[in-house]
Amino acid sequence: MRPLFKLIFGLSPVLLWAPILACAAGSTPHVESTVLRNFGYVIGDLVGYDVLVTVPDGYALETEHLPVPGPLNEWLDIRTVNWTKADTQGGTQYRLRLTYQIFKGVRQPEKLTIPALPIRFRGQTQMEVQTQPWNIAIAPIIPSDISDENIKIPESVGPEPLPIGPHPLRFTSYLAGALAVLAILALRYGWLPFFAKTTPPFARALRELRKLNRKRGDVEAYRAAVRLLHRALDDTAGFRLFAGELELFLAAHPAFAELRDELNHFFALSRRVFYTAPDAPIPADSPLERLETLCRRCIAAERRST
Amino acid sequence: MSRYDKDSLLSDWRRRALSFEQEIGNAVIGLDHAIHQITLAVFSRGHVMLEGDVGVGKTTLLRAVARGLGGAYERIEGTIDLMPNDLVYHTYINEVGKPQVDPGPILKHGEQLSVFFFNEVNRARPQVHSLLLRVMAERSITAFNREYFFPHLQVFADRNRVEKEETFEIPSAARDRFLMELHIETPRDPALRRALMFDPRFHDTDRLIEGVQPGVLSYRDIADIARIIQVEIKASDALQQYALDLWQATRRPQDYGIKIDGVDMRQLILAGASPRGMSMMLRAARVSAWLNDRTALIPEDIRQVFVDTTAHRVFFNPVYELRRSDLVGELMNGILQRVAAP
Repeated sequence: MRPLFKLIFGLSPVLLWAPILACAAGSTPHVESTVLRNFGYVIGDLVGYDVLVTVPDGYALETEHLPVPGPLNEWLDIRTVNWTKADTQGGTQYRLRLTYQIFKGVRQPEKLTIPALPIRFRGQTQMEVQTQPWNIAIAPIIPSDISDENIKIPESVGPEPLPIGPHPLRFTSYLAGALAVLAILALRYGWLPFFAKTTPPFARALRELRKLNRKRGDVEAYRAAVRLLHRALDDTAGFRLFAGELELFLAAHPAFAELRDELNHFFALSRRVFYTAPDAPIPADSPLERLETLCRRCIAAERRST
Repeated sequence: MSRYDKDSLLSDWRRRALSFEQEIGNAVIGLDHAIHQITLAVFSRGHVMLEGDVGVGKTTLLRAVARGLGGAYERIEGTIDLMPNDLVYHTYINEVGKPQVDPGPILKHGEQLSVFFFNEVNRARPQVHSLLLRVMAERSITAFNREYFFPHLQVFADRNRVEKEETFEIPSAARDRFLMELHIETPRDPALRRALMFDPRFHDTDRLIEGVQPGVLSYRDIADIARIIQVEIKASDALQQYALDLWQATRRPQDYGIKIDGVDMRQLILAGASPRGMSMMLRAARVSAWLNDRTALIPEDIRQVFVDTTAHRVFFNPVYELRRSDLVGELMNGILQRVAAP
């Protein structure tokens, strides 16, 4: 009985691990690798390598263990490492796509071995699979009977000149068009306060008055002209200026003081035209020219005061 | 009536109006603006609310006006227990020991009543306000099973702005029936203040009032002349547009670029001036034009009466109503400064 006990005791760790090992054995990862070709490479070529690993459920790729892009050995670099994951019936399928670059200068065609790549998975236990090392053939890029020194590398071909003439022109015209539209919109919506400020009220009024000159003799145009002067006075005063406040205005704007009589006349005229005798014709003593002259004198006063 | 008669009538009454103004100005100093506005109100046939501090001469002013107008004058003090009936009749036990009912202050003088002064109107209850509303709007009252008419009546009310306890704010409908709301303040001029303090003439109010020539304007004829003034004074299209703009500005001040610091203008106004208010404003403006010897309205006529006839008709949102006295002045000034004419 003693040897039997010894045997059982001796085997007990194996027996205890047996189900786990059996389970692991029943779920061996499946590795399948694809290469485009393994011949016809020269120095500097990129070599693509696809690995398809199917692992049982519950295992996940240890991405920290994947090789990082960089030199692998003295003649082989890894340029890119990509992977994707897909769930299949038999387990999880990982597709790794690696790109190597060869930096080996050879004199004769040679066989190179790309080393095996360990891939680790994390699950109940850690699992590692190895890809098979594989061979590729590499050829020299210069004939074997010519020495390196005799190889002349011609100058790089300069770029072909493209006609770019129309482009700056087109760009300038688009830019000018956009600016013009913006300027029109800005004027229309009064986004240009500095414009309004730089043109003093009476200078603006005179510009509008000149337009009314064409309709000389028309009562409505005449009233519009009186209104224009009213608005220019309002803008200068900063509030709606009425006849009763004229002295206040003159005190605040002494440059206009010499126009006192003319301004008083203007207010009396406005009262007559708009309120006390609205149906009467244009007053003979104050034709449109007189309003224009007043406007010009106001512009002079405006210039003196700034 | 011929054109000439009308013109001479108008100019005759203008002279009388100006001497009325002058007579009262002699008795009450430092209130020239209020006196002028009251003259406008008399010829516009509108009622006037006076608001101001205590002892600034509101009652003296009204007594002087009543004397200048002629006719009967009555006054009543608003108190919290005053009831409408107290205005209409008065009950007591007479000398032979029998109960007797006599007409109250409103009815006592019948049609002769020309000035009714309601002192401290905001101390009276809403029931009294509604009676007042009827008297002001219709110049009539129902009592003793019949209607009484007061064709010459002009109501003056006074609101003390110092106290707020035990007062009843006058409803907006009643406020709207006042043609004007005048603010009476202590005169600013130091010379006037000195005179009020040291000149014995101003210490005896009764005597002061007696100095006013009685009946400078005969109250019975005012209604007729007021009607003629309203017909004779013309308003041009441009002026009508100005008045419309002013009205619109009391409703949507933001459209006219009116700004008040710390106030969202879109939120400020609850209700702008009423159509009745605007018609009253134009009535007063026409009188102003007539007093200035014009036959057509000009913007200055409207500006003369705009604040006094309109400020109390604009109602603010409750959040701003508490700051009313500050805001309303700024709003009215803003409107006058921003609305253009022509």
